[in-house]
Amino acid sequence: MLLNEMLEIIEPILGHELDDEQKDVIEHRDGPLWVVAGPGSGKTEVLVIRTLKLIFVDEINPKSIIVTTFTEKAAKNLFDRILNYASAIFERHPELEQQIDIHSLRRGTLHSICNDVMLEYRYPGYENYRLLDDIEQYLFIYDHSSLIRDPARDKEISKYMPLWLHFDYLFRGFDQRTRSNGWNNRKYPPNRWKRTEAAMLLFNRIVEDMIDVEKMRDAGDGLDLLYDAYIDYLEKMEKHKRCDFSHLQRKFLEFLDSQLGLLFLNGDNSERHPGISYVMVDEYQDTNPIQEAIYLKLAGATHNLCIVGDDDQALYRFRGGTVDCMVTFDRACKRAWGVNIEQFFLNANHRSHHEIVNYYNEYINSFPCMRLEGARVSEKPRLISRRVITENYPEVAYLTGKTIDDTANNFAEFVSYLLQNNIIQRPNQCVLLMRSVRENQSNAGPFAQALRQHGINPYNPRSRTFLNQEEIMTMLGAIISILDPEQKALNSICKTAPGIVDMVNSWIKEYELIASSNKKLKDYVQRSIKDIRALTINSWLNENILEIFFRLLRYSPFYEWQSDPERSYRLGKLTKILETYSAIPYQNSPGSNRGDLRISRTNAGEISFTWRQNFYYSLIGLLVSKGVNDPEDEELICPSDRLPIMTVHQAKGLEFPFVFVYGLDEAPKETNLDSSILLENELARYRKNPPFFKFCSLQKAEHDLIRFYYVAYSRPQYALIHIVPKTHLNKNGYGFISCNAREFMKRVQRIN
Amino acid sequence: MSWSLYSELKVQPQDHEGIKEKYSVTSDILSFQLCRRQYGFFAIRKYQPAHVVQMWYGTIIHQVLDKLHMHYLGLLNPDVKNIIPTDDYVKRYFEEVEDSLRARGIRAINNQIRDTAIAALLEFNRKEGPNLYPNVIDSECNLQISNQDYILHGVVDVLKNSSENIDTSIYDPVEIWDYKGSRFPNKNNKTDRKKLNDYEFQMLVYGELYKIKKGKYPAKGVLYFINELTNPKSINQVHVIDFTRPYNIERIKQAMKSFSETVRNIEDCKKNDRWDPPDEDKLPGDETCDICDLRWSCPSRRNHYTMRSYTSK
Repeated sequence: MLLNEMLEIIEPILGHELDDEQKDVIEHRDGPLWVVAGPGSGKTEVLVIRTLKLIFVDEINPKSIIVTTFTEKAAKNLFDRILNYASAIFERHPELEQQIDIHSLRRGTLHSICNDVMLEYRYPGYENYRLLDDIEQYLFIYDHSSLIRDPARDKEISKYMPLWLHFDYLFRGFDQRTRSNGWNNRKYPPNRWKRTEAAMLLFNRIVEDMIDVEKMRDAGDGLDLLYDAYIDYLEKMEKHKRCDFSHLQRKFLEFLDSQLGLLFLNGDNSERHPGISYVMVDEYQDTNPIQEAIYLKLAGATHNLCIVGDDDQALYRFRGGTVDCMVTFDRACKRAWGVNIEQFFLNANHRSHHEIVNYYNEYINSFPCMRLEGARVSEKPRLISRRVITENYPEVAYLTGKTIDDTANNFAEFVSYLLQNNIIQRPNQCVLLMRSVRENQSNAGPFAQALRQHGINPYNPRSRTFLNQEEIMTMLGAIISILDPEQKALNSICKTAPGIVDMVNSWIKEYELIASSNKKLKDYVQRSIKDIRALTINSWLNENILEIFFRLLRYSPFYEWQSDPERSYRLGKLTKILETYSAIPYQNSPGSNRGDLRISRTNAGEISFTWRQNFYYSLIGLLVSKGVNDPEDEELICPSDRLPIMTVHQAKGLEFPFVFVYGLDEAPKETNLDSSILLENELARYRKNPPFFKFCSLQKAEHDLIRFYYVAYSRPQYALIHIVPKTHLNKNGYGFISCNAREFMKRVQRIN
Repeated sequence: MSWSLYSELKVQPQDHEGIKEKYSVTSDILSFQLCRRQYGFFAIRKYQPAHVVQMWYGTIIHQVLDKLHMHYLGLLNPDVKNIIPTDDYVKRYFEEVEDSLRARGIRAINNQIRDTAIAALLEFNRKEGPNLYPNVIDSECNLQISNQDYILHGVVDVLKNSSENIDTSIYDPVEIWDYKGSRFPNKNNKTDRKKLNDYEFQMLVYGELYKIKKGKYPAKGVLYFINELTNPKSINQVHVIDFTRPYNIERIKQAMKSFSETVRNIEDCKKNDRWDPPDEDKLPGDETCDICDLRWSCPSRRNHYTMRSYTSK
């Protein structure tokens, strides 16, 4: 099939013609391809059509093409588009349907592809491993890592003290569990929770940044201890057949070097093993060094690696993303393969009103630090607006108020006005973007409340209010009432973890309140306590913790709550959390299950005291400290009758008619720099592939702030409305063009 | 107030089209048909079962058989390519899989079960290996197709060349094999008959998926009941669906109709987010409910299950 013929079929579905730059990318045949695509430039569509072109025009076997993107949801969406176009092509050319197996296209996140391919090839190094998500990795490290189990109570005997002192910047910030700030008493190591969080950050970074661990060890000064602890962690994971998400990638790299991996990469001319011919990556700006290495290896034989992204929209440094991979892709290809690459810019914006495009063009170009070599892709052109909107109105404006409550109220009133006057038809045509969407006074709280007062229901599944929901509090309160009936274990931790104790007490109180009007539930809990009291020392309970959960569902009000989807989904998420905790094996006992409950070795009729303490310290401690998000519907951005409140990260890749952006940030200071930046910079010297440009931590923090607001400002189609309380207007905050508040007020129209 | 400046603007909402859902023959269609409440809670609302359904037996049988196929292809060790695995290899692969499952807390309930599994695998390897392995085209093979509304998905244990004498202009000389880690269902038992019916449904759908992908039906579908190999009185380990018989092609059409109807029912339940238990006459049997964590709170079955006391194991 000729390209024109294919485009003739798909352009009517697409609804518009492709522009010349888009066509250039689609038509490109072989070799590395670097597509720098601004917001609203239709980059994903281009990737979709390029994939179709490879399959239908160049007749490449779909099974030998890999397409990856950043989230499962985005991958599903991308494949859905491919399927829709492919069905239209098959309709016109039915003879192709049996020749082309479109479903065999290898698509997904890089993590899911690593997992699927190693399972498909039955890689022995990945046989029957359990993948650890963030929560499970934390719990596993908490219980198994020698770094955490180090029993030392003071400086003299704590083996790892030099390591903690070396990385003392990882221990800043407020701890909800202890209600204290930072690492106060240097006589002792930081508390166990903080050590766990730090260990997790360090281990993940070592893998993702491809650190040469021997080189790191030889540097001494605590780094030798980090080496020991890291090797110990690897051994523990192997022993228990566990694999965290960072090591999934490392295992995949090892797989690619194995005999099975070579079969996967190079193929054997069979239908089953066609080899890998093309690799295409979306959202490349959030990739990290190990992922870069994987992509370079996957495309090692053909050099057919096409990456698409926008360095100005990089957001995920805190998760290990390194924008350098996008900015210096050309150098990376040269270093790995010794070849030059072809670069294309997609700079036609089809999303936003031209004034909004001008605004964010000016914004990103207004900061001197963004003009340093290596900060952005060089010679990047400005975006050109292609969206035609003819109505006259303030496209970029701001709403203010004396206080945050006042500002929130003005915002809600304005949204009501838009709805009442049919300017928009549904609340979900707006979005409120914030740095943190926790529903407390300094973040989303006043906004959610103001919306509700105006009869608009906000949608904020990441408000981290899961643990304060009635059904969750009641369930946890009931389970804890059974397992720790007099709260002896809970009370034993009140000095060290008042935050945990208060939270658990609030659940027990909630349960008692509900139980007072639900006799059967109360009776069952009482009977359970009595049953357990009758058990002898060292025996095992015949029910595990999840079975206790399922039994409690029998009684009102849990019974009725199961018919309420929102409550029922939350209870479902709680089963996931309890299952995760249950799956943590005991030390030296592979295959053991922490969800099984044992009676104390010394006191008959009580669940093991250590078990109860561990449950509070490890699992509940984590939940209290990090909060838990509500379950989210993968398919749904926001129900049409609700107004989404989102973080900028959640809004990545989305667009809305009206976008409200709350707040500004102060200039970063040496004293409050994000630990992931400091760590990235510190470990850079031990990287196997050192970065091409070096920026100090302060510069990186500045870049990140600028990019953060750039992503926010590039979401709207019709209007960008800043939400700035008066107190913020006097500060030269990040978020203003050139950080200049006075210019902001001159240039942007106030609408209240 | 300058809000009236916006009054000229009227923004119409855009409807986002839904993404095509993927439905698997076993984990969606048969699960939903068995019990929509169980399906809704575990597959949709993501409840986690209290016990990893410890399908040690089924898992180890499938994984070892897979290793035997890989062994013959030389993927585990190129030196033994095209050589039928010896008993020692079967035992070695068994132990490898057993070890990795043990570290995950998945183990045989007792030694007798373990011995049965290893005996069945040894016997399978001796009896079927020489004829089967050289004819395997693919194992753990993904069959996926999409229609206007959804994606259909199934995983075939083995695709094998067939030596049957068939009209190759209509049929592919290929057999679809599916291993079952159980005894041959007893046709005199209602529950077993339902099970066999479900297995057949699965094979009929695979037959259609194969045809849509390759243009022709396969020659036959083979259900292999591995546990029959350890029963000295057993006369038959396989149940064959002969796709060259017009009767079975008719059954494929029925099965596909039932597949679509089930998808519609699932989507209806999803739309309303209601997952009621099946109607009284369609309730699953005790062997399903006895091991379902929802039994204590199931509106239809909870009276059948009285709460046990907590005791020691």
